[in-house]
Amino acid sequence: MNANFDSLMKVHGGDAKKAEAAFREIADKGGYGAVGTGEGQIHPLTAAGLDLVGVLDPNNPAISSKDKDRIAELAGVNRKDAENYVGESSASKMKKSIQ
Amino acid sequence: MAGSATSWKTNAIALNAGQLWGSLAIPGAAARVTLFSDGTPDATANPTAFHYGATKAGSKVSIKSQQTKFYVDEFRGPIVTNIDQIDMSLAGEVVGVTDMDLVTALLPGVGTYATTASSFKEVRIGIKAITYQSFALIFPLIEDVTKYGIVNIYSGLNDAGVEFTVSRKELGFTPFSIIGYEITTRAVTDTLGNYWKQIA
Repeated sequence: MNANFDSLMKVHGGDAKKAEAAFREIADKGGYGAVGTGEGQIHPLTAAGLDLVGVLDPNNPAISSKDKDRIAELAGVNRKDAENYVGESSASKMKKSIQ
Repeated sequence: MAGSATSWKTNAIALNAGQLWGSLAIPGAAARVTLFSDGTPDATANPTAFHYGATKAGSKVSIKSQQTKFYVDEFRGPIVTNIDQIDMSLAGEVVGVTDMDLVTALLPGVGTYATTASSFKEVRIGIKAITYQSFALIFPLIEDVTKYGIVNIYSGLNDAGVEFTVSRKELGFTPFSIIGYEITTRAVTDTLGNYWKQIA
């Protein structure tokens, strides 16, 4: 339920161009903001990535069902997994800083 | 004729310790940071979530606009205003000054975590690319401690650096000031961050 460059590389067979294009399209369709290296944009290599749960939530009115389908397809996740999402705690799984 | 209903809001107060998290995933349109039931960021949606640890005296939330008032000669009061600046920030003091991951996270564009051996941890200081992070201050609500209030800055940086005292008589701590930067390519009503609470 997260899309970042590394996860998209795995989904798109290690093709960096396809992974970056997928990241851009997910960011655009999901209303995250534009991807780029300039000010006011989301860096394409941000390890933290994009949170997909809220965007794929069936109750999210801002994203069309068609776009949710496309985002799920690009990210390699199942839309149904966002319904009644439970998830897991970060308390015992905290990762090191991305800096 | 009848009086108006009162609303003292004594349950809607902030009186619990919060948790400051960084390196979170950015939520999309009409979405919010995904939380687990224990109030931590969901680890699947936020695989790099980083806990900034204990603070000396909590965190201060600031969401402010700067309004410019305009006047005309014929009237003495302002006749119109314009919002020409918005600021959103989280500030406080963290105590984990010997945690090198934390120190690195507090030094965007300056600190590089550079441990290459198992015998030490090191932050090298110099210039590097600035990395923005999504931050969230998460705190249990007084009205229902199983629910949380969340202040989320979508893209921010600490601009307070690292500054602490090493002393026998004083707890070492370093101030932080997380400044929000607009993701200008988002919807105009939702570029800096959000403040929300769970109700169900």
